[in-house]
Amino acid sequence: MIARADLAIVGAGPAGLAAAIAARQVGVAAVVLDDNEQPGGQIYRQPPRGFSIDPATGIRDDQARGRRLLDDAARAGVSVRNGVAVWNAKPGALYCCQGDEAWTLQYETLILATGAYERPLPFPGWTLPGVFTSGGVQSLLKAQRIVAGKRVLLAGTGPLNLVVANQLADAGAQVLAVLELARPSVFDLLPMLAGRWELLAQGIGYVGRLAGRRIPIMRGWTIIEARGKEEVQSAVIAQVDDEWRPIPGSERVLEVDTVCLGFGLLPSTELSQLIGSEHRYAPELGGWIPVCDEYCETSMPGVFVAGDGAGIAGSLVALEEGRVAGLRAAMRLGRIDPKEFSAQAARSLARLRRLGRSRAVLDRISRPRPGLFERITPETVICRCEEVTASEVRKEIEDGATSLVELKARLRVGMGLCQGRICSSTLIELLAQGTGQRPEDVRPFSQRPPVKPIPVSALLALEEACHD
Amino acid sequence: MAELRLVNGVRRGKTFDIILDGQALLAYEGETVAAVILASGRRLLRLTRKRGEPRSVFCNIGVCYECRMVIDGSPNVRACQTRASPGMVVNTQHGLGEDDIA
Repeated sequence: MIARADLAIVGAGPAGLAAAIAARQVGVAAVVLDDNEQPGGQIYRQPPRGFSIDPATGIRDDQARGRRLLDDAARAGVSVRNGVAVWNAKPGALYCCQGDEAWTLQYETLILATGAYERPLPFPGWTLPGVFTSGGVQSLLKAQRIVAGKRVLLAGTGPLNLVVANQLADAGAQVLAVLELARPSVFDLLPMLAGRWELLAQGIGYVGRLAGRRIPIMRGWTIIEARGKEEVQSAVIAQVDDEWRPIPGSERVLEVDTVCLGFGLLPSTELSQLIGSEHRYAPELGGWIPVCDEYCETSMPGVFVAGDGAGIAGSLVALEEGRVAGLRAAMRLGRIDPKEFSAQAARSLARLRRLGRSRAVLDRISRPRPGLFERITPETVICRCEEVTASEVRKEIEDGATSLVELKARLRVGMGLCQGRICSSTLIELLAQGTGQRPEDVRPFSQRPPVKPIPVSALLALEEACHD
Repeated sequence: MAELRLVNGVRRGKTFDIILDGQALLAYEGETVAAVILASGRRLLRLTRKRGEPRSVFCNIGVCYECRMVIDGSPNVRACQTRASPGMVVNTQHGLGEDDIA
């Protein structure tokens, strides 16, 4: 089956929804596709049907903001098709799949608003049940009102862990500590005053609430090992130096049943890479991001990336970028002229310039440092899907592998169901260390469809449709 | 804190059972399979192919594929992205799950 759209949007989080609303307001009806069962993305994740969550639970803010955005979208006449996997992207066409149904969506303009996922950083025991990403624990709590464990340790860097720690404590879990890698000085935080009072106040609020509960924020500490048999039973923590290397002799062991890892986010760039737009290595993220102009347009005219998929900046930036991209797409479609675009987008563009300043500061504080990779022991699993350890990877690098493609051919890393999302950033680092290349010079996996697993029956349906 | 499934501040919908490894397990309408299992205090969702290691939910947003289980006869289904439904048959996945399909 072939469908057509003037504007296709992938992702129904803040960026995708804001884009669809802005486009609709100037007369462009977008087709919005989302992999999740409900719109809202991760930050605005809504409770499932059949649930009603009391506003006093302390998780209402994001859900309420999300509800408002979804209401705006409904009022504007935006409809979202949920549960759709977009597994291939070419200039002018997306390949979609839902259950056994497969179809091609031909588009004039495209906005990718695919968001981000938590940066996976291996250490011994990180595959044990009970070791989660902080965002995963948060979504379980926010959307399902289920608390992941009873004695919880959070480790990583950035504000998410502070938020999740408070939410877990609200839910009755015993939060042992938040281990924060960074030791930002007050001077690092000052530039935030330039544009994000609200965020600064929020941050101080989280810290204050943790202090009130006597939950320590241990700055300059991190987790170096999770121990347990069937699931995690204890965590080894250590102090780190300025490059985040664990300091020998500083180790302590904590009895825990749950570990939350929040080491920052990585943009989901599978589709923007697959489609062939230009990308650049962003050292502050330790990953590749699409090259976009100030209107979120990639190197391919009419193809846009908005929100965290273009670099990690959070929901406030995502909303504004989505709006700018939606209006710009309408301009590309000839529905508004450049003058009207400028008038409509002016406020969002001004906000983005303001928000950009504090983003640079956060990037500097949380830039991943090489010391984190020193936690990796020979037995540490790097590729979780194919169960490939660091010693296997290092042996192939010693034997001459210089790129991700070669490692994949030799070890099957990146060939599992996650398609390299979990292992590739670590493999780039190991290759850089082992070969002396700069991370940006390590040849990455070439993205190949399907970027998400789909049933063969869906492919067959598509094949048959092509011959009809 | 006794319960992992919070009772304060939330009203849940209808209840029903899913069948996990042959045993009935209470679920609420709207919960994911992963949530139902974690709420019961169990974490194991699958055992890996090479080393037989236990794995559970990791990312809970559908990215990492660690939570794959055999659901209604299909292997490699993400428990974190699948809504539980009445009578759903869920089994621990061993390796790639070929031997888990009856």
